[in-house]
Amino acid sequence: MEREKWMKLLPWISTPILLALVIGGWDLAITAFGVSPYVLPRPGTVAETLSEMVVEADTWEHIQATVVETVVGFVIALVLGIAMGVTLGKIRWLEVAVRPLIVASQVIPKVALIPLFVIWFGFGITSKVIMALLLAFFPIMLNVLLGVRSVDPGHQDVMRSLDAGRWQTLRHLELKSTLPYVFAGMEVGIVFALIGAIVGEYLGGSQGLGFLVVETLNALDGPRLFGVIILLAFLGSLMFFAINGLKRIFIPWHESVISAQ
Amino acid sequence: MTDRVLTKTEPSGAATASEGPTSQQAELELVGIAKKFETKRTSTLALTGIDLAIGRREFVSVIGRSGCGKTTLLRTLAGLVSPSEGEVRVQGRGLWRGNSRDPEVMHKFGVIFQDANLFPWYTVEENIALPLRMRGEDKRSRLHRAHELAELVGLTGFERSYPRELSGGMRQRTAIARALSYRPEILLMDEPFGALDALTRERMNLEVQSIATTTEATVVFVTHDITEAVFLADRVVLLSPRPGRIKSITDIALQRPRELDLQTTPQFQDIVRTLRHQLYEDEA
Ligand SMILES: Nc1ncnc2c1ncn2[C@@H]1O[C@H](COP(=O)(O)OP(=O)(O)OP(=O)(O)O)[C@@H](O)[C@H]1O
Ligand SMILES: [Mg+2]
Repeated sequence: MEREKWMKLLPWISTPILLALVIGGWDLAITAFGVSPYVLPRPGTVAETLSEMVVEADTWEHIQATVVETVVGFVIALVLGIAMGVTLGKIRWLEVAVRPLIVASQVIPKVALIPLFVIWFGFGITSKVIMALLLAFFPIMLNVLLGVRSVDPGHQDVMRSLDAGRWQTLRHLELKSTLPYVFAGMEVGIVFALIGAIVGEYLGGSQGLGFLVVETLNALDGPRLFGVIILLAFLGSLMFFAINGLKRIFIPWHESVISAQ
Repeated sequence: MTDRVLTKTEPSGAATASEGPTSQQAELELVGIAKKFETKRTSTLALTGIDLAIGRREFVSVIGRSGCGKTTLLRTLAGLVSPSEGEVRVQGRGLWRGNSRDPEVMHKFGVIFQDANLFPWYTVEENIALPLRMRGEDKRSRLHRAHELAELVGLTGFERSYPRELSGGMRQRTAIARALSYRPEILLMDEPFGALDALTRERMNLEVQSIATTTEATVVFVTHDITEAVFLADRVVLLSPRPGRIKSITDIALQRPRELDLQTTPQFQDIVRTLRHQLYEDEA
């Protein structure tokens, strides 16, 4: 019991220490080796710049743009991914028929498609949403497919022995047992959606944190570039933990939730 | 029920149809059952020529070596597997009508598997009450019933626990309670205690005996443990393997309720020995 408590506390103690070590090492490396501030700004400078950035209205508009693209893309990917995953999971011949296509689309670096989307949909939000959607879709769809296929045969026997109907089996067994897979897909999917949106912003447009990265890069503004990257890291973590929180509400019984407590 | 201590063993090879002890009408009948499993590479004849009639409130154990078709027999009875030949009848009604099962017959069965197969997303009380929920019983009355059953199987205080928080024996008790929730007339159990340690198993055997008495259920109990089979049963059906057929049926006319000490009596051990010899005859 003592040990368990300690294990729970450990990340809260170790994370600040590790962070302090990284930042300390970073600062030390700069003074020790005389690195140019253009290549690597000092942590203090970055912190200062960051504190300036978060009070600028502009920054928040860029954050908002990225969040909207990511969330819209993710939600569409979630709906399509679940629908497609369930369909392919249930209809075996269909899955066999489209399997080569799925494998092929997994292998293609989807980021390479962005220029196409820019040609088709312009430099606006649409091409970014589609990129976010596309990246988030596959992990969600594949996880749902796996989940639908992974219903425990012993559980199915129980439902059959109780003479359960289609709807009851769906409600009490299949939905519940697939849910953890949906969440596993969502946890990967949300991070992928963010990546998609940012890469989309790199390649075109005038909005979003990805655009801000390119802009600060062009201005060779090291501290601001670092500031944006830190903002992105925060945003990614926030989104991931939002999904994680939903998981704790919806599947409190699942191992991935219990072992993380 | 018989009060005398008496055993009667039909010699091996007695694969003839056996009548239930009180048989005007059998509760449960297997008539000319055969089951063949066809897969891409092989075709296995798991059961053949099974004729068995089980009387109302009778307790029948089925034993046999691994792979002889015990599970197949029980699943056929439970309507989880459709027979290739023959018919399953319950109180005179056929279980199968073409490709579908008679729902009224299905509702008479309570099936307990080797694994508890509890739903991890439901608590103990929700698991127990699930069959009632599916039958549309309201929340209050089904939870009331769940608590009543939790008490019967010795799970008081664990109603709100999740299955993962229970020991193997407690999970199996929950599974039994779930099967009992809708008061089935026929209990079908497939090695329900196979995964439990010897001590827990003995306790569970005593409980099964008292559950069978209080619920007045007809029970078919599959096991590979001869002692367990003899201890619980009114009749022991011995299957011989490949293809699975009934090798012998043994009446166990030992007094009830039976205590664990019964297992050390000479009468008891005689029956066990005879059955063990029959079981090993197949080795050659
Ligand atoms: N679904 C199935 N498909 C193909 N063959 C099967 C299937 N189920 C059972 N069999 C075969 O039927 C035979 C009897 O199997 P069964 O599970 O009924 O044996 P058992 O007596 O319950 O064995 P055990 O004591 O090990 O549980 C075995 O040879 C097995 O390989
Ligand atoms: Mg078996």
